Amino acid sequence: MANTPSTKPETSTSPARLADDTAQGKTTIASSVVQKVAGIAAREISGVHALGGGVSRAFGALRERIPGAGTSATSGVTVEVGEKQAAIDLDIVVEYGAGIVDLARAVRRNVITSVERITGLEVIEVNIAVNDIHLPDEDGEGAEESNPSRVE
Amino acid sequence: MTVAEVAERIEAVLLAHPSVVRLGAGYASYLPGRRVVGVRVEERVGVAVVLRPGRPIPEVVDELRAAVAEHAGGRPVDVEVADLEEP
Repeated sequence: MANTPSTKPETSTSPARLADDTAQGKTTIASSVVQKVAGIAAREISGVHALGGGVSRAFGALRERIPGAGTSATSGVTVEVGEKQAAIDLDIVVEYGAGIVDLARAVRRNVITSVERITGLEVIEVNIAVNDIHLPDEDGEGAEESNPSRVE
Repeated sequence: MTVAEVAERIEAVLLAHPSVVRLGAGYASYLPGRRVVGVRVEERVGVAVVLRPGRPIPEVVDELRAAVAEHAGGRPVDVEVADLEEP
């Protein structure tokens, strides 16, 4: 173990420390880990209402009860993970009012930063599909406020 | 040290690490009377862990590998990050 530091250069430009098969052993990161990191990073951006397409959102409640079918944290996130690189596809629902081009750019930047920092994989692409736009009163939120009693 | 002792010590050092939530399924050491899930001790040592999100995974894995290697008797230590805990 004495030679561990010398065999692992800690340069930020080499994310290829993953899956390195050294004499000390190899490291593997499951794709669900990358999915969760990407999902959390995408949701952090204000203006992202939810992740997932219409179908995955509709079945989200059901999917959470099926073992191995993924959870809400991974809904709408598809990843392909190789030994050193990852490609990420996101299905997002945006808030009404958000500039979609700027929002997508911010989501992409945050996802790349988080996945590269946390997993050490190089993210080669983040494809973003905006599936829907969320209107403020769509879920009945604010229904009471929008129909206040007009008389006292 | 028998394989059973090695597996149990490795389990203990992994669970003592603050970033490890639990050991992952996938494989286990089958010992007399119990089994240690997520630890495999053969010609190589394999461990599967579920981590708390937050810290860079390569850093955590290096710490885990170093901690496990003290008990691994010179065997290479393969670390699999099976999942992250839901935030």
